[in-house]
Amino acid sequence: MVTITDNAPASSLPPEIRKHFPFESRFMRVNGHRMHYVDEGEGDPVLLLHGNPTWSFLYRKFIPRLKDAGHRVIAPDHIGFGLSDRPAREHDFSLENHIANLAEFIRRLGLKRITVVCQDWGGPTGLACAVLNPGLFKAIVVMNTWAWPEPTAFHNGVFPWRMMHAPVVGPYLFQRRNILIERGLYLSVVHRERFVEEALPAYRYVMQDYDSRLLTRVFPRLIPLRPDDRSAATMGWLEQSLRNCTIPALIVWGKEEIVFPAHCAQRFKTLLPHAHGPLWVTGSHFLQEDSPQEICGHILDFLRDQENGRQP
Amino acid sequence: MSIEIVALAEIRTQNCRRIFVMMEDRLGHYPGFREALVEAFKLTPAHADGGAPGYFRAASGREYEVVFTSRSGHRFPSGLEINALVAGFDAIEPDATDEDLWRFLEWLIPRVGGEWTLEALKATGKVYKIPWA
Repeated sequence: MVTITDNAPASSLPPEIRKHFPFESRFMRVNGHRMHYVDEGEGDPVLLLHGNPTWSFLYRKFIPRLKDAGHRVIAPDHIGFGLSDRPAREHDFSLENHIANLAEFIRRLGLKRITVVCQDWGGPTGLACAVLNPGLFKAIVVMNTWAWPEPTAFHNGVFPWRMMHAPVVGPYLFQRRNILIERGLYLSVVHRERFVEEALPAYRYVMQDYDSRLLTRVFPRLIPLRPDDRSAATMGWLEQSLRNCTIPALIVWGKEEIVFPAHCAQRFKTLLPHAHGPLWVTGSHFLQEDSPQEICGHILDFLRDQENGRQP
Repeated sequence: MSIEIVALAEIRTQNCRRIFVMMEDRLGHYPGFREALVEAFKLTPAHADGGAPGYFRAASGREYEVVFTSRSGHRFPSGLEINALVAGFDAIEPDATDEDLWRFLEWLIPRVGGEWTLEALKATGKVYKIPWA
């Protein structure tokens, strides 16, 4: 278990990481777990949601840009990631618990007129919160994620995905060898040299030991492959709910994405026919690392058009 | 074979420390893995009620204890813990342990069979830079 005391986490980040992440760390107890988040600026909130195995650091270049444009920017770390608590038991985790944690986080902050920006597991969690309380949301931005029970070809394949998190193999690769941090991230960005120099130390820093990496292998097992798998019913509910969702939406997708290929962006367009996009940017799975300024520009243009009552 | 399943009587447990190296909570995530371990370690339901752990010896000569765990609502064994058996106060070498555990996976995967092939394991290991893959 990574132990981070209540009053020390911000200063515990070493200077070489802090210089890229110069934001005040805040904490909130949510469903018994301590959740870390960044909350910067004033205005209608933009909620930035990460996935596996990243944390709010993924949005370090979004935060100042969106803040300077007049938004309150909030970026939480899911429980089990970043500077949030790391429960030690696999059975503590479910998609439904993650959704409940995020819903409680939003409720406790009293957020309204939210723009949720989500990628990877930020999608199922953030979109679920949006369809549960649509009146609280001003817009949704989906990037490299999914919201339905059927797996992609990548997730259905034994090599490498299902082998990676298979019983006994998973704890070895994800927890003893830390493969998502040490290799998976690198393979899932386009600008690799920049990533290794600037970002990898921050992702490595919060996954320093076996126990701290538990969620990196639990999340993959929560992706449903068959109709009776865990999460399948919730993902089916989410897809059906999105069909009735009228919240203004923007779809941004990485041109080099292979985890959720281009057809997933088109599937979102079918689910949300009123959505603007897909807009294609340079980016593999972690497109926030590859094209942060271009994506922020798309988000700000979209929100500006919404404010002005124009269809983008 | 690089992994040898051994009986308790053949294991040096006296004056040995048990050092936790890895845990699996959901052997039933893909049921073939549980079935392969049941067969290899000759587990019966009685093992869930105070039975002995399993043991294996790696080609390196290092020995490991496999504690099978049970959880209500799940078939036994629902999980396992692997502990290194280390003499006295000797230190444990993480890379050597990791190599032994990789060999354990190479031993396990063909026993699961079907779509779970040694080639797929090794290819996955190579992508993720496992030195022994």
